[in-house]
Amino acid sequence: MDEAPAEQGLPAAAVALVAVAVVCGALLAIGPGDAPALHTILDTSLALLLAVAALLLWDMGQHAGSSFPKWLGIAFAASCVLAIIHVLITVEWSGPLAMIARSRSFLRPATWPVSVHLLPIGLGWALWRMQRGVTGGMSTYALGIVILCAGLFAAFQYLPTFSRPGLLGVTRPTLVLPPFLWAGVAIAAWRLRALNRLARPLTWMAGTLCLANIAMLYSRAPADGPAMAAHLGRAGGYLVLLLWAMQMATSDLRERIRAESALASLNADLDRRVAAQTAALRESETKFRSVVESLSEGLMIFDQHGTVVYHNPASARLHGFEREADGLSRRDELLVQRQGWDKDGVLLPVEEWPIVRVLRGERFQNQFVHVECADTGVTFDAVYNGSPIYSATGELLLGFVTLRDVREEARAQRELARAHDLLRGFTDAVPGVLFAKDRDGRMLIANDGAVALIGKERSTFIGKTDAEFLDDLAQAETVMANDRHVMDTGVSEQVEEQVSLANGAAAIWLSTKAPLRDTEGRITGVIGLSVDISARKASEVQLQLLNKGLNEALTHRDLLLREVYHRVKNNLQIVDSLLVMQEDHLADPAAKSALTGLRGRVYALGLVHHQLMGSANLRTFDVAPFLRELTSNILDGGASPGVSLAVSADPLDVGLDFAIPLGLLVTELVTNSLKHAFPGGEGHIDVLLSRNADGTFALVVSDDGTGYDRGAGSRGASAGGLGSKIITALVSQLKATMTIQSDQGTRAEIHIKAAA
Amino acid sequence: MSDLNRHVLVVDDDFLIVMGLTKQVQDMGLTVCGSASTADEGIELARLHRPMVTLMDMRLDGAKDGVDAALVIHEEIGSKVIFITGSQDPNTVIRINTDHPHAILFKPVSAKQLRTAIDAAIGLGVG
Repeated sequence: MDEAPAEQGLPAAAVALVAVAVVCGALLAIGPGDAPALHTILDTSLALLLAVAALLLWDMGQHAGSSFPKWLGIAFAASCVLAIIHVLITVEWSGPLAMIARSRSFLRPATWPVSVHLLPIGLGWALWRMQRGVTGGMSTYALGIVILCAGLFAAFQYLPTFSRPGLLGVTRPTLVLPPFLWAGVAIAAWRLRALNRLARPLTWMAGTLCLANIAMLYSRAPADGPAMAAHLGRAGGYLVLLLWAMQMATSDLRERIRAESALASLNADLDRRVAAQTAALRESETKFRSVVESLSEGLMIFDQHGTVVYHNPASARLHGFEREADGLSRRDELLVQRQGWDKDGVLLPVEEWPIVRVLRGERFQNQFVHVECADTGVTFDAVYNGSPIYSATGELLLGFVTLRDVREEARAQRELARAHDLLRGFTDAVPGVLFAKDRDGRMLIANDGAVALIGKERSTFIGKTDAEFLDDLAQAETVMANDRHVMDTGVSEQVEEQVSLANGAAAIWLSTKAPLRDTEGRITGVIGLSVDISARKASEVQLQLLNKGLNEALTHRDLLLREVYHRVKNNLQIVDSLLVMQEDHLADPAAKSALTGLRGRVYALGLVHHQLMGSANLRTFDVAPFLRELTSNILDGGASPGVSLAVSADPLDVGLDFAIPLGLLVTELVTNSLKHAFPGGEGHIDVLLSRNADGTFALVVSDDGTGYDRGAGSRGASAGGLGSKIITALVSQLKATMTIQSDQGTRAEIHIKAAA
Repeated sequence: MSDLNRHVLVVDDDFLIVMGLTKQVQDMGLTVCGSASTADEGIELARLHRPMVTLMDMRLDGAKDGVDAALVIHEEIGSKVIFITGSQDPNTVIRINTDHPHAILFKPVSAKQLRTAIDAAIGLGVG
């Protein structure tokens, strides 16, 4: 099946040729004989073969729309007519058809000579025409064939048929031309085999006929061996063509079936591809649509006239209409009732509208438009991008614009700006230097105070470090080290920093620095407030100096006070010595006793100073230990071992002015009790100092000894003269009142109003 | 210690006080072997009389004070030193205590305080 089409006819034709050759060989081997019946059969079969071949060729030409097979068909048809005549004249006709038999001699050339010349010439002519590329011209060709036929017919009326063997033993010299003609046809057909597939079978046929015509040259009788071989050869030649042509037809059919099935499978494949591509397209369109539908940006697609053919939901929302419900197409026109302003508030001319720009072929991005729709009342701020879409031939097919609602952004920006202004207002209003720096110490924010301190334009130090904008590098490094410490520890702190003023004057700043954190709590910098405390520092120094002076004065005063107390005590010791020495010169026991009383009073005075000297402030002391020591000393000096004494005193700090009269009072009262209350030498004395809720004090000295007769006046008149006077004087000095009860023992109550 | 005399040495730069103290010691039946107004004088007398008790004022004439004298007397003679001082200055008290004084009495000293201190010193001395 895969053989070249030209070779397809060969096997069957070859078998036929071999068969013909064998039979011919047999006939020639038999030698000259006479086989009129075979002659008739072969003539008849030749006529039939020619007829079939003529029809087949004509049909092939008809089907292929080609002229060459048709010319061949005409030539074969002419040969066929001659062959039929040849057959007809062999029949012994009677009746009306007897005229055919009568014209036998006239029609005789039709038997062989005309035909064997006519066909190769016709075929040669057809090949020539084919090679020349001639098409059509059927009638011309047919006419040519008829004329040739007539010419040959006429010529062979006069030419002899058989003759004595001549050159090469040829007995029919008039038929010497056909073998050459056929040889020529064979050669021509072989050469032109590429132009038409019939050329190949023609070659074989011509070759066979050439041999057959050579055999005919040796015929001596109409039905002898060579003549039969020639007839058979002719039949074989035609058969080759026929078989070949039939096989070509079969092969054509198979080829066609194969082509058809290939075409069918190609069709099916194409269908499948189309279906797949359609599905892919549909999917891609679905994807595109779902992306576009869910896009937060608005999308408008419009045709070359500016008519919007598509709004995505975001665009519809932004424009304030429902896509299906709200008569989309009406609004899709360029709205004349819509007005737009650019970001500077300048009214937008129609030719600057996004859609119009795209229609003009512009491709643009980020066009801000503030839109107000007069009819719907919808107002929005949007940023537009737009682009045209061109066809393959460069015409504008569609255009689209995207629009992003920036109302929120714009509002947020305004809010931010307002917050920033507010912050700026605050920071500038803060007295002192307010700043924020990033992790590397570069200035981010600085208030007016900072500008004044640095003494340069804000723009010259924003983004710079202290080392870059401060004149004193040492100061800058200290400041930056403090900043870093706060950022490293994450703990805010107060530090004193020295940063000279813009005019070069030294200044001390109290800086409160805190870490600056982002939303995740990472430290991104430092913020701080610095206040000029130079003046405060100066006054602090002065204060410290003053304090120091005061402290020194105080210390000096304490020293002096101690010295004074020391001298007082020393002097009291001298007084005591004087009393001791005086005593030596007195013989009167009453006088001696009076001196002892004086020594007790001197001791009381000394004890007050002793307490003062031992106190922290040198001015006041707690009264209880003082009273205990005082009374204990009086008791010891009284020479009455059987008398006991108890002191009970509320905690009370007393000064010199209160302690001296109090001490002297207690001395007098306790001494009185010791002297008079206990004749038996045994008893108990209570000394009580209490503080009342109203701030007054009560001093109570009581004993459980013998009382005294009220009518007799105060007891111990002899010695009590001085004692009574002292008591009265001290009570008066303390602005106090005294009551004395003498019943079961004596009880002296003194109410003191004045504060200690 | 038994070689010490039952004497009392009085060291004070104030003569009236010396007199008063002497009188009181004598009233107790004890002998005052001498009195001095400077540290060196006091040390001299102490060496001479080897008193059992020395009444020592803190503030004395001359460069040395009572503690200077008391240290030597306590160390050399072994007298019981009773300090009688008008000062209550903490530094003074600390300085006095370096000498392991037998007692510290603050001026003005009552008769009873003086007697109790001397009695205790003598008693200890005898014991």
